[in-house]
Amino acid sequence: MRDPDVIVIGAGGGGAVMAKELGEAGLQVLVVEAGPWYGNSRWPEPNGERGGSSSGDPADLDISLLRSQYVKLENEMNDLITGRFRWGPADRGRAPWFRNVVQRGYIWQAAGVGGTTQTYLSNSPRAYPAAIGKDWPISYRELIPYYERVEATLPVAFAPTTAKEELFYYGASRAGWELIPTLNVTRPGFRPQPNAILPPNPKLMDPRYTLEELSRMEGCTLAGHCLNGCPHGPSVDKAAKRSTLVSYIPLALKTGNVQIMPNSYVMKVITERTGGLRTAGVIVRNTWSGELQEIRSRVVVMAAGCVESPRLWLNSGLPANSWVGKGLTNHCMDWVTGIFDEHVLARILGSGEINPFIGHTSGCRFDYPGLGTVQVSGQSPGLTSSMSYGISQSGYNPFLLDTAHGLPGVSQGRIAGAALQQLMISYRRSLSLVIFTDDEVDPRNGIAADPVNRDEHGPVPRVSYVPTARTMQKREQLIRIAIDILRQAGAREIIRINWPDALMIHMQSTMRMGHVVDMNGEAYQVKRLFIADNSMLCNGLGGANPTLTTQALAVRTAEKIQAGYFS
Amino acid sequence: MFGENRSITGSVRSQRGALADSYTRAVFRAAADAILPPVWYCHPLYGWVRIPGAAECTADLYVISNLDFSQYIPIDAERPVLRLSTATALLLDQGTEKLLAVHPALAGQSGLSLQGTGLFSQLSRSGRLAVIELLDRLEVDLGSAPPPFTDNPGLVRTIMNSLNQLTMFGYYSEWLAYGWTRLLPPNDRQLSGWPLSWHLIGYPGPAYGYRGLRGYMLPPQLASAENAYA
Repeated sequence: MRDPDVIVIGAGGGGAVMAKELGEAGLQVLVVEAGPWYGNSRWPEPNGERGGSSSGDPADLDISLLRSQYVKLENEMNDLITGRFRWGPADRGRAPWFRNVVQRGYIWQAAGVGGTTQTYLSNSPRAYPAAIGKDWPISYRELIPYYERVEATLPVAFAPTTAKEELFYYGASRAGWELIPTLNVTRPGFRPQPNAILPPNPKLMDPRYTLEELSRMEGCTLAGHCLNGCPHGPSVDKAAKRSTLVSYIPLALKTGNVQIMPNSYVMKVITERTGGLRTAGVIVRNTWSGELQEIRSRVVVMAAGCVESPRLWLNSGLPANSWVGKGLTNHCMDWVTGIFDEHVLARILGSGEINPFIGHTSGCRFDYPGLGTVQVSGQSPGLTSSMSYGISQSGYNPFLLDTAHGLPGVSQGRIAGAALQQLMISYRRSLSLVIFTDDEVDPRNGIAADPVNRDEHGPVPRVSYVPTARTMQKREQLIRIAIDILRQAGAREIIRINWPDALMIHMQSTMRMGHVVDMNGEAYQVKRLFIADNSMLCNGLGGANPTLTTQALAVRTAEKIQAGYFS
Repeated sequence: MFGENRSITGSVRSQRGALADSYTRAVFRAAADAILPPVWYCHPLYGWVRIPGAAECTADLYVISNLDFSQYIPIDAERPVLRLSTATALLLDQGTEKLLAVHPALAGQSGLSLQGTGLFSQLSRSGRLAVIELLDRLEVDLGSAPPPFTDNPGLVRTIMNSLNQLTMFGYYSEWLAYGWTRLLPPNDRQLSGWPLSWHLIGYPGPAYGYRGLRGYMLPPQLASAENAYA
């Protein structure tokens, strides 16, 4: 595509939405994506050879190929260093791209068409209304119609109940919380996750259909591979878990106006002075060959994520702004796991096991506006062991050596030795909860261009996050609630791992609306430059998972682009 | 020890863990053995069984290869860079020196006294965990720590977690089931069955689905929810 109307940088949660919306409006859109494209016949060996240069044809999407690439194995898919879902080039013979995280922790993101939504859990709650009212230049009410459009398009549905959700509901009810059957959460309570996952196939419980047959039909099969990559469905655009790879990208291609160019890293946003500073295009580097290419357009949309968008701004030499890269929120997460006795589970569930690998990886949640979120997470065993017992900021569990008597009621810290083996033997009787804190925006947290370290794309991002005292208070309150839910559900042992504050899975608010971009999503200082990723969020949404809000804003921003420059 | 080479495009291709020197290998084996030791377990079907530990399963090689492969190498580095795995081994020995300065009786409690394996490898399992803990608390002089740990407390703490996480992920993911191909680049690996750990804990592996539906707390359609917002 020569001289597109709009260049979108990044084909993840926000960029794919932007491409579909602008393509439907009749604009010529080029999406430039740094990582590989899975499930596309123009890249039959996406990690092994360069393949094509771009694709704009929905006929290129191939579910057989996707099944052979999304193999549902956690080491092959989720290893952050060499897995298919890593932040790095498609060629896995090369190192991942480096981020200099200053504190203890790391960043969990994936490059590729679909971005991190390839591996996200599809949790799609709206922001807590109170969080939007606080720091935002637009109102929650204004967002609602955009939420509704994204919810209908993905689509979003309430998650079904499997054993782990049933146990969570049981514990939350006994802890005194109520079901909140709402999308607009204004009071605390529990509910099924609004997930971007197709409802289960109505034939799922019918033994006349084999599970393999069902996996090739429309609808979720409760296979539990949301995090590992879900290839289930009759075609790419009807795959069960609605990453943007299978939802918005196919819709974008169907417009006939969108080309997507994977394996292409944007090094620089080009500007020109014509009645003020404005964008003119980008410089792109092919990640296989190193070739550079200049592509010009009337509008550029940065949807490269909370780290790369500010990095690109800084490395492009765009005008100084004290909020570029500043104000990072990450929900200051933590994780707590309960181990249950068989007879307790038999009484509650009618089965002596939870089997956390069955069902949506996260099918239910507890919301507390003003504090944050607690949600179930059931993962495959390598991820379970490393996330439940392997990473902490409080060192080893002090009761580690007391294995003869098991761990006490609630303990804290990493587990090793015989106690670890014992806990993993109880894997099928374990229930893990993750918490997302309503963390405060603090300008000391964020992304900077590293003054010393460079890679082939320029200065690397230097990432720093230290929670405020108020954030830490809220985190402790949430953990107490999570522990109480597990205890009320009958857990025999509870291990709070105490994740590092800088373990970053939800990253938000490094290019905030009202500071870097205006109410339309356009940069104050560079006309025709827009943002459509988590970085433009004004805060952490109160602790709600951010993707749906970013997608709703992308729809809104697409309208503004069209009205402002192409009407 | 100095095994990196540069690709034409500026990134780094690291040689993989199997090529680690014997000192580094000994230190990482000792760490993996402390994090996931062999244990005896009374299996409901098979009675008492001995479960091999992470070191016996060579999970230490997984840790070494991932650390080295993730290592940041400056594109303008003029000299070979010390492997991250070797730097980590040296750091663990530095921590051991500090531990032994306070608790000299802990020296050599593993019963091993092999030449060239360092102090850390010769500690008891609890002593090795105590060293990781000590480094986690930054109770060493980071000014004299090997690069890239020199005056870099965040990285020291991150790598102490990584030793644990990677050992666990190597052991409990399917990595072991790649057999002799497990240290090859990921595109060249071939799976041969499931790992022992999955059999042990009852994980069935990748699935087409489960007939695990128990109903719905709310009907799937979002229209079933309250959408009013006052």
